Amino acid sequence: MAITKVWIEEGCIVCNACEAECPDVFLVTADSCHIKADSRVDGKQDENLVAKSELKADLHRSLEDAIVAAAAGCPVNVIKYEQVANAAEAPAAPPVDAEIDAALGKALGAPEPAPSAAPAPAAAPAPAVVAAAQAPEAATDKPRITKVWIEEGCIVCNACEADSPEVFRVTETTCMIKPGVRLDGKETENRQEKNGLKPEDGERLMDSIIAAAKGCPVNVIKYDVFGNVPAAEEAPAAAAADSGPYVYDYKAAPNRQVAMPKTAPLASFHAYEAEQKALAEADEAKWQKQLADFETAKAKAAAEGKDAPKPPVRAVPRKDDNDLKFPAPTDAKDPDLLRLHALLGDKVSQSFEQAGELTCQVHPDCILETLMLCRGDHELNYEMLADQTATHYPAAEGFDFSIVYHLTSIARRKRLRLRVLVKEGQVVDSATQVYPSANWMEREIWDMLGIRFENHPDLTRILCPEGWEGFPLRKEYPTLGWGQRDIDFREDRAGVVMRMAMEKAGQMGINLVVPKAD
Amino acid sequence: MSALNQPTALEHVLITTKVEKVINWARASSVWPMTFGLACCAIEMMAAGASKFDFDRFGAGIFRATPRQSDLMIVAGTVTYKMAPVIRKLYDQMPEPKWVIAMGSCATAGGPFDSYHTIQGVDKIVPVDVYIPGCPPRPESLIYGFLKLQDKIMTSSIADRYKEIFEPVEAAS
Repeated sequence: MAITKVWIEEGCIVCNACEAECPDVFLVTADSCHIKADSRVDGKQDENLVAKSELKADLHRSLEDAIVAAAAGCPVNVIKYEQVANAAEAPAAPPVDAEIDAALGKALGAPEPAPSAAPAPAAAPAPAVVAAAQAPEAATDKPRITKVWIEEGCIVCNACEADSPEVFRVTETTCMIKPGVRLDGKETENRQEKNGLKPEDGERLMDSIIAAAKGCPVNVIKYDVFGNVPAAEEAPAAAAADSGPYVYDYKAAPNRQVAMPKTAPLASFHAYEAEQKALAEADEAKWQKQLADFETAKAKAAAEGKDAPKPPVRAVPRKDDNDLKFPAPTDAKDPDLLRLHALLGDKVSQSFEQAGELTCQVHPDCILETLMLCRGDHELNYEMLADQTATHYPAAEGFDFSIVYHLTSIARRKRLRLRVLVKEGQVVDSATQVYPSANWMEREIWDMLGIRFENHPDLTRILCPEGWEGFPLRKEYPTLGWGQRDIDFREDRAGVVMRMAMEKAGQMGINLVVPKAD
Repeated sequence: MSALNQPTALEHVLITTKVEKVINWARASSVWPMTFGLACCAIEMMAAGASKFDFDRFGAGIFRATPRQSDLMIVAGTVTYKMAPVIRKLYDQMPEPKWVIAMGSCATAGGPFDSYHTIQGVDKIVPVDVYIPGCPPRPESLIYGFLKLQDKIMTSSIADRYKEIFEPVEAAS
């Protein structure tokens, strides 16, 4: 084993731990940690994040333990390195302990040069050539997974077995690589020996292994890729790396998809009218068909000299007058709605009354104008914004969310509902300038659904902790098995208690070492 | 010879016992809980502290408003991810010796909230001494759990706290 490259990812907290472990390689500066110039081939001194310059050959083995210890001891895990068993054995060793995504991203990108521990000329060209020369069983040159193994820390969650049952078998305590796909035919975690996959299996099961690795909640499934992964696989990974609006990646693990709940349709006068019209048309068509059938039957009977058939009777729709009837929306007759319509004109897309409630749907661009009218106009005079909330309609066409404003006029004892329909990523004017009570409600909408408001004084998350990923009230947000529950604060506890006790023990002259594992 | 079984003159006025036992007795008899409730379990906790059930009979009636003066944290309610760092900080602020009771099924194991926002048991963030089941547990359950905690305190050794966490150093290593 030898370390060929070492670099510092972003996020160094300048703690000096690495310099204490391995002063020959690391130099902690005022704001970052550098790889020293005299340990590098290119002789520069920086984080080595971009250049990824190799370590000098004589340091590959001598400093290996120190670098591994420094990387393990880094509190923010930004020290990354490349480790190879030796040149004759490993075609391309992935960065140990790197994120699966990072490893995948590397595998997707251009094939990087094989790290050469010893100056062997055969190891210099791209990994494809090396693998072909040194793995005679590699009859195919299609991209495939060469090895897969399980690092320590499996939580026996069965997710990998669901994704790729041919490769993984989850036991009581850990996860095994099945013998059927391995060259040596054993069944272990493959952590130590790193035995290869059969080439045909590696090619056939590549997608499912990648899906299993991505779906692993503790990221212990590691694998080596040979060649380039097809471009079709590249799209979701690239989308995930993009720091755009958060989208749950369904394609990453097809067997763990969240069933999208059915969304109740948005109450709308237009939709109701269209529905009623379609029903009436269907009824009329049915009646016309009955009449036509009767005419043909009558003509046939007359031709055959039989008695004429009974004329059809049109079915009267059943009168449904009980209290449980769905309250049908009716056209706006309330003076408030009419006044809003008169003042705003075309900006009102629809207004209707339903079960005695007034609803006015306006264009998202003029919601601020509408709110100012509702508050300031002497005939409307809605003093209070009682509630503001939003709903996600993933199946709707033309919009993704509806935001509703529930206004109350205390003086006139009336309530009014304003509604706007917005698309994903669309920014709406904040209502805080007109109604200060909108402040927290808009923060909640942002927190829960991810709709941004312009000119809001402090649009931050209000319910979820800061740094939360995703928006929980979106319909696609998985409520179970999200993985947040796998965060284990016990690690932190061990750290805190250990530090305290070490200090205390040191003062008392007691030499303590390692805490018991949980 | 019969004088052997008779108490000496000194033993008429003195009781011999272990220091540890005296300290444990003192600790177990005046456990001061922290005023700290998270959800509906806290209502039952308040009932346990009020006159009908009267937690104070067991020396645990003085609910302190600050962790610095508390010995016992009764985690009464649902522990969300947002609350977790706060609970951890409060626990860290309590002086040793300190104990934790996980009250109700939420604090014990997440309860009905098998969801993205709830920690599946407060023992993921602080060490728990006594778990009390129930949703919410009645005040009697809380008192029973507290009596169990008193038993634990009485049988504990002063050195336990570090023994639980640390192994002694091997001479070779």
